[in-house]
Amino acid sequence: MRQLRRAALALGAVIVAAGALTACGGDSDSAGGGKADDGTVTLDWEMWAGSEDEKAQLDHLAQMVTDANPKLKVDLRTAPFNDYFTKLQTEFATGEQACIVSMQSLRLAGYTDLLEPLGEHVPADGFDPASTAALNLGGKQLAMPFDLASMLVYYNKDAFKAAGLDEPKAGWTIADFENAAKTLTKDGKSGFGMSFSDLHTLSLLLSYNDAEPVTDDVKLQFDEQKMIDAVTWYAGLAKDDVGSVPASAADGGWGETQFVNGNAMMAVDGSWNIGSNISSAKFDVGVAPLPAGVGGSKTYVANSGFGVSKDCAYKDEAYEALQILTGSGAAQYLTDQGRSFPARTEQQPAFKEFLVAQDPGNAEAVSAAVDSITASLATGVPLFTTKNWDEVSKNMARYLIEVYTGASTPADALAAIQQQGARNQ
Amino acid sequence: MSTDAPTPPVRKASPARRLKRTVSHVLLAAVALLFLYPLIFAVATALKPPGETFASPPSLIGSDVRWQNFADVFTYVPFHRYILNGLFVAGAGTLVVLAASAMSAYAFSSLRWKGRDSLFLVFLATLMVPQEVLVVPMFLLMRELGWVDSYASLIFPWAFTAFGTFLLRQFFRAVPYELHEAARIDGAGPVRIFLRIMLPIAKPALGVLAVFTFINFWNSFLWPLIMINDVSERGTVPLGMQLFFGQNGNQWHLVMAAAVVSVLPTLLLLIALQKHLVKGIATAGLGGR
Amino acid sequence: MATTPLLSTAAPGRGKPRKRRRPGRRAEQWSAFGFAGPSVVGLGLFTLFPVAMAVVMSLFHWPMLGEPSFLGLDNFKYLFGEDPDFGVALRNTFIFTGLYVPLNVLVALGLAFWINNSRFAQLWRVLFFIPAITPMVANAVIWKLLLQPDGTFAYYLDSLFGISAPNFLADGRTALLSVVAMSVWQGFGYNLIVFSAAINEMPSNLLEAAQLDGATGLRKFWSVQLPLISPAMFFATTMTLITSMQVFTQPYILTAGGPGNATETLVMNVYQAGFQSRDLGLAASGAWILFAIILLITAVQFLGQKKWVHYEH
Repeated sequence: MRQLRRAALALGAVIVAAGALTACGGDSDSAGGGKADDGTVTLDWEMWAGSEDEKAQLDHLAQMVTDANPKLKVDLRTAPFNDYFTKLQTEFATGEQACIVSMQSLRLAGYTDLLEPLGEHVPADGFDPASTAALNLGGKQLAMPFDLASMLVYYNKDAFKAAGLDEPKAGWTIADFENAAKTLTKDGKSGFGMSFSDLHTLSLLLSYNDAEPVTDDVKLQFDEQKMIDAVTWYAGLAKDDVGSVPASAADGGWGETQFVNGNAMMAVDGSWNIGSNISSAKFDVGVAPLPAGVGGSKTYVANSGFGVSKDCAYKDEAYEALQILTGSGAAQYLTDQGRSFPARTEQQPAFKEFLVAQDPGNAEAVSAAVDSITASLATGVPLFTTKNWDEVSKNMARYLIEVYTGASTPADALAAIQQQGARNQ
Repeated sequence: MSTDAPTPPVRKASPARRLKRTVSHVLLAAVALLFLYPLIFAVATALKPPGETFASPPSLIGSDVRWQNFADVFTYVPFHRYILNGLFVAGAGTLVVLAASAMSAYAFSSLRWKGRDSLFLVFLATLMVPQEVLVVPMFLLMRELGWVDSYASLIFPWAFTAFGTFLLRQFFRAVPYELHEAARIDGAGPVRIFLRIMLPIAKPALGVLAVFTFINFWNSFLWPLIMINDVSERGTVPLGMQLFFGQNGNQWHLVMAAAVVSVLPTLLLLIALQKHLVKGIATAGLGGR
Repeated sequence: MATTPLLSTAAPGRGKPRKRRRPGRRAEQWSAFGFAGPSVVGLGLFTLFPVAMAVVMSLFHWPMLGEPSFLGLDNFKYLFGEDPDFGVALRNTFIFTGLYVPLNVLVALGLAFWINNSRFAQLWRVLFFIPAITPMVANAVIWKLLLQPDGTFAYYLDSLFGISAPNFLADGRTALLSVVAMSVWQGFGYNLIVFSAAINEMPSNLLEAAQLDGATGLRKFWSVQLPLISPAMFFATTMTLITSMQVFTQPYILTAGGPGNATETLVMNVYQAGFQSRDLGLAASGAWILFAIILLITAVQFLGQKKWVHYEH
């Protein structure tokens, strides 16, 4: 019996040791893909997807790769959007990442050492320069874009009409915005749905007074004076319920959700939600660029793209696949599905056509909406974030909400965000 | 080994008594209604059209009663698949837990061996480590075993926790020694005693463990998220529900409808095992040692 | 219902030790290993190994993506020293537990007694258990709707009592209380079932004897019924305490630790260290501190049970 016990202990020790070695050893030879005997290479592709429709779109794209090159297959694996990056981290941490990794411009910083710079594999033209710029960190092109987005103000047309206000349009100012918000605050409804999400809040602050939370060499500067002034103004909107304050620090989508549900008459949201906001709302939805502050209307630009992991064993095949996944054929397909505003300039008009076709009764409004996107993109700048941006945006939620409810001052909150963020940036 | 208290003799209730009882029932119903209001609200929200989930002030009924939402849950994502996967994982996991826990509980309660009590304390201690911190090392282990993105990875790693052993051990310790004695005198060995005596008596406690374990597996989120790559093939229900939160808007009405649907299997299991539940815990050594 | 612990020498009819026709010590040892084997191997492989790794990790700076470096006890020093959140998370967890456990146990106990007298006991038990099996995401959505400004609670507070409701989840004073309330509502079902069973099991002869002796109502409750179910209460309190110290999902979904860090709990701190700051070593050290605390509290409970838990014999 003692022998059995000893054997069991020994086995256990071996397993622990093996595990420890694996963990310490770091890289395994997991390639994120595989090669069959006949030379067919299968690449793993990691992407977020929600509904079956979304997944079907991605499957179609994967198929396009094989259509172009029968010896190249793409094996899609998806995760829910909310959890994609949690999962991605764990995969990288354990060597399970795919060859083709979908990436967001805002998340780039955490993966600079893990994605292969694409350099000359990116075609010189075809892409809207804003779209490639957003995925280019520190001079390295880390992903090839498939879409492009900016922040916009969504407004309740019915409410504006009922109040006799001029609708927001390109060129409208912060003062117009404040006026509209105040006028529309009545009967328990707020003029503006506030937010603490990074793009939603920071874009409006940028437009207000050119406040930037991050320096040019990507270091945090939340406690900079312009930021303090901007946040002071923003938080001031909460006075008299003009701005609807998020109900908790967990309500990341507060502003736009309140808007769509008819409780707030305006909100800042991304251009990627044009389709869903218009269809979900029970009222007419209008879209305008962000109100112009001292330096004109500005916005942050964000987008998504596909990159190649450094450990991919089949990089040449991956580059080839990327060309197809972000090529004009794929872009046309996605745009025809109305997925998002495309990164390729050639396909951009088709997006407008899609939206108009989807909502012909509102053709004019929809057209204007897309024109707003184009206008805002002209003055858009990419938001480059630090590699601990997850932590920073969580802190933004927790501390900014205290400012909105009056429990803390902008200076204190921003100082806290800065101090805690600076540690790991 | 009856543990039911004998029923008191039936008496015709006096009017005062009956009034008291009726009032008590009404009050209890009111309290139940109050407690269940959030869930009634959940079902009501599940029936609202999209874009009205957060309409303020909240009302029970939206502009339309959309039973359609429940059907949409199954077309928006392959929700039936997640239910099937969930049933498989939770079912298999529960069986493994029942088998392993019953056996080890027997060893810890009815057999005498060196190191028994200290090993049991180690078991108990493992209950106090939060799962979140074990997730990454466990992932590494799964990778070594080649179990990433497999059903095995969903079933086995958390099937050997100490909770089942703890619960069943309490129960087994309550079985009178005389029964063991009698069986031994008849020449039965430990295996025989386990199968013929302990298990049959333990059915109620096993029922309890089954329900609690099933719920645990069914609602587990973080681990399946990290383990499963092919969500449409092997995803479980909580994972599937995350798919309603997309890049282009959240389908809150579908989330609520899916939540209502996902309660049903556990509810059915609970109703089926109700009788055993109450009887089971009673004899799990909680009214005695 | 006489129950006898196995190792007791008070078993009737035992008399003087005599040779028995039963498998020897050796065979019992063998079969014990056989029975305990699967669990022990399973636990060893699937729990002890990750636990061992976590112990190792806590002594390192172990980034998710990158190379680990040895730190010794620096992680622990950081948590107790510079980390602005850990101390607060510790305090919040204690406050949460201090409110949650008594509330949970009292509500479950009260309802268990009340339900037991009813004809529809089985129905009530199922109904009250439903919150425990509903997915947390649904619970969170509903409670947010109830708690938000212009939500149901605010509405009724205003129309019935004329009180203007605070912003429950965004106000530092009420956020943690709201999380406690939601958690109690969601979790008391388990203990309700435990207590219901224990109450069912109370021997009626004892109760009748007590009644004949003149103990009725409150006296009966306090001196007879409660002691009779004290073992169940012990089990419930211990398990509830252990899980309550590990609370994570409820505050995470309701308030994400905010406003500020008013609702941040220890496990949330651990999760954030691991999955947001991506320092697995720091996360592991936080988890070990939590483990030590839970172990201590549980040990105290076990020692204290002699004072108030009555085991039948």
